[in-house]
Amino acid sequence: MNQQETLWSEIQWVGEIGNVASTHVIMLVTGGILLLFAMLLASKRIRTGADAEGNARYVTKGRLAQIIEVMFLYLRDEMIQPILGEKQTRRWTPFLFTTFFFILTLNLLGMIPMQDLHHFLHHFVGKDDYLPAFGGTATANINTTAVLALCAFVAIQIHSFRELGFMGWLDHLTCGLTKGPKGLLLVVPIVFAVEFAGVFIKPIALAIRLFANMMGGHILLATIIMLPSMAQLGLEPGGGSWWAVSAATGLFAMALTILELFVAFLQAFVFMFLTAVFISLMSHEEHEEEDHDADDVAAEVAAIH
Amino acid sequence: MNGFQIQRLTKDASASHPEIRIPMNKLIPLFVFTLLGSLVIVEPALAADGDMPNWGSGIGKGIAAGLAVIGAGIGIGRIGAGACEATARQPEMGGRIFVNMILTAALVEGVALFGVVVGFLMVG
Repeated sequence: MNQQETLWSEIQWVGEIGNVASTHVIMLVTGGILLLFAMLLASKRIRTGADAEGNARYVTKGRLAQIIEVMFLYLRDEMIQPILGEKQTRRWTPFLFTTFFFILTLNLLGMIPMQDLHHFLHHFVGKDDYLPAFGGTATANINTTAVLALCAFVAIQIHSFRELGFMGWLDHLTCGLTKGPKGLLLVVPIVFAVEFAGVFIKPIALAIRLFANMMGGHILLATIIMLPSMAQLGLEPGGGSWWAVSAATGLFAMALTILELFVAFLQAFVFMFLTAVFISLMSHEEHEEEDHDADDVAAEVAAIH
Repeated sequence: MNGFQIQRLTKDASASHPEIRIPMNKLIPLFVFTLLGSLVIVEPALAADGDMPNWGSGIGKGIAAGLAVIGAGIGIGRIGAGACEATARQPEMGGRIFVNMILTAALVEGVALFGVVVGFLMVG
């Protein structure tokens, strides 16, 4: 498909692949490689070192490793562990935190204005008709977020089938109505249909939420920054009022960029947190004992003293 | 104090404008008819590109995004109010409540962005 060539296809040994490697794909690969190296480096410093260092081996050295360790421990102990419980946290930590740090890396790479720098440099050379080579937010593409949500979907299904079994899963989707009063059996088809749709709709909502937040943020920023250039259609170009418009929109765009940085962190966290919540919904609830025997309670009280 | 002063202390609609009384709820049909009637004025503009297959898509995108954001505004406002009240009741839980507020606000904002995405999808 020779629809659109990118800069990469001009390189001889890249060739035909360059036609389909959009900047989003390149940023995906870049983000992945960056994440891999950063995490390998951080984990080498975080993990308990050799015995030769004595007690210093438990201390994490280096700023990157310390930042990652602080974020990781806070999220795991305060956010994920209350939801999933001890055993499931240990099982799902690798997947959840891979999605978190990967989405965070992609979001933050998108905040670096590499495409704008590219445009700026090309403008100086005089070539305004060019193809973008690098830069862009990979998560601002519905395809990227759809695949991330697909991974979350597969994870949730693996967990639910492993915990509940197929019949148990169907039973879980009726929310316990088949065991209740017999009159409620009429409602079971409706509840089952809605819950079954929810099995698919929840990951789709995850994908759309991340995509819309990232793309909407960039479109908003672009619209605000477009204002000075549109203002010169109506105002005197180069005049004082145009400078005022530019300064005001520049400050506002700066504030919006800070908000976008916050949203980058928040949306990565929300994606991971909701995946953890959906995983926890598909577990066995721990049923408390209905009747506590009087002797059992007395025995517990005596054991404490 | 005589009876005249006691009467002026109470706020009475007829005390400020004794002759003109405007019943506002009877004006609502007037506003609605004015709004619908103004479509007659803009009809030539709307009909100018009426032969294009998706002529209303620009207006549609704007309306979709605008209406979706109304819900987000109301929802996140209520979340913030609840969080402020809860923090005022128990200031030592302030950190926990703040975290819950940010999380819930992100979820509600996600729903509003579904509406914006539907706006993106309109072709034309």
